[in-house]
Amino acid sequence: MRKILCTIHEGQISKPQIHELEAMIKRVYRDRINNEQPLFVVWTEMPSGQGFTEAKPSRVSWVMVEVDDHFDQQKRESAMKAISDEWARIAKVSTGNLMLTLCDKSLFSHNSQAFRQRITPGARLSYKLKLLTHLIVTKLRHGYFAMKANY
Amino acid sequence: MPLYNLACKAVLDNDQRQRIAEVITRTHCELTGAPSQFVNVAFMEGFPLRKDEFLNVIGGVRIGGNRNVELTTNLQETMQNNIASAANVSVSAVRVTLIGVPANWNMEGGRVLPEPGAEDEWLDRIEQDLGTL
Repeated sequence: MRKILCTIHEGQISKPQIHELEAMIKRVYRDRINNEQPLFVVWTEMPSGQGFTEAKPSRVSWVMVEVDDHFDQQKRESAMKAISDEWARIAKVSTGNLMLTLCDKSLFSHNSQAFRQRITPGARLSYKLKLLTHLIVTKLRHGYFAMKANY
Repeated sequence: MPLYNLACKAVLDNDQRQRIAEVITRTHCELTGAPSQFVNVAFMEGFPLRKDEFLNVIGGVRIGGNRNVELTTNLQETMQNNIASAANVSVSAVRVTLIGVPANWNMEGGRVLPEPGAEDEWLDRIEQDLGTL
């Protein structure tokens, strides 16, 4: 399974747009990256006042896509361009409103591990349960997986 | 890129977040020479961090180009000191981890990010494409 993490800011992208963006990312992934791996897309909506770009309230979405280690650079750039252009079209923004990373699996895992390890060991299980519950509830309620920015 | 993700034990107020976001942006740009338009900061609050930590910062930053070990170490230490000062906590209550990402794994403004140190030409092209980023 490969993971795709999409961070947006409160009120900037609507639920129908989220659905359309997710379908687009999955389509580009199948067409240009890998058509065998199942994909797990998770959305985080930053509450107002908690996301900054250039020390001002951010209007930049942050997307990280997991790809195989040593993924071909030409294919990486082609996939990034496709996602970037389509994101701008669907979200009705400029390509300057998206920061996109196509990250090799090993570095993606390293990043995820750093995020997990910041939680004190005694609270990791409850954090995981809380996270899982929220993922399931949002999938049932809205049709996509989402995690909270705050605990 | 960079994207600095801050997990905080407490819920911060808007002034605190603004102060910390400003100090992160200024520190990153002063030490690396990167344009401020690149610098992103995300706050995630109420997290059960380790006992002695108040803020845990994970910074995804470009590697390569003019970024050597000395610069990265200096960035990590200075960032820790400056964030602690902005948050009005002790230095030991702030932990900073930098994770290096190859520049050409990233895209902004529809263009692959430049190697660190080669931003001027990239910004010129972006401004031609989009106006100011």
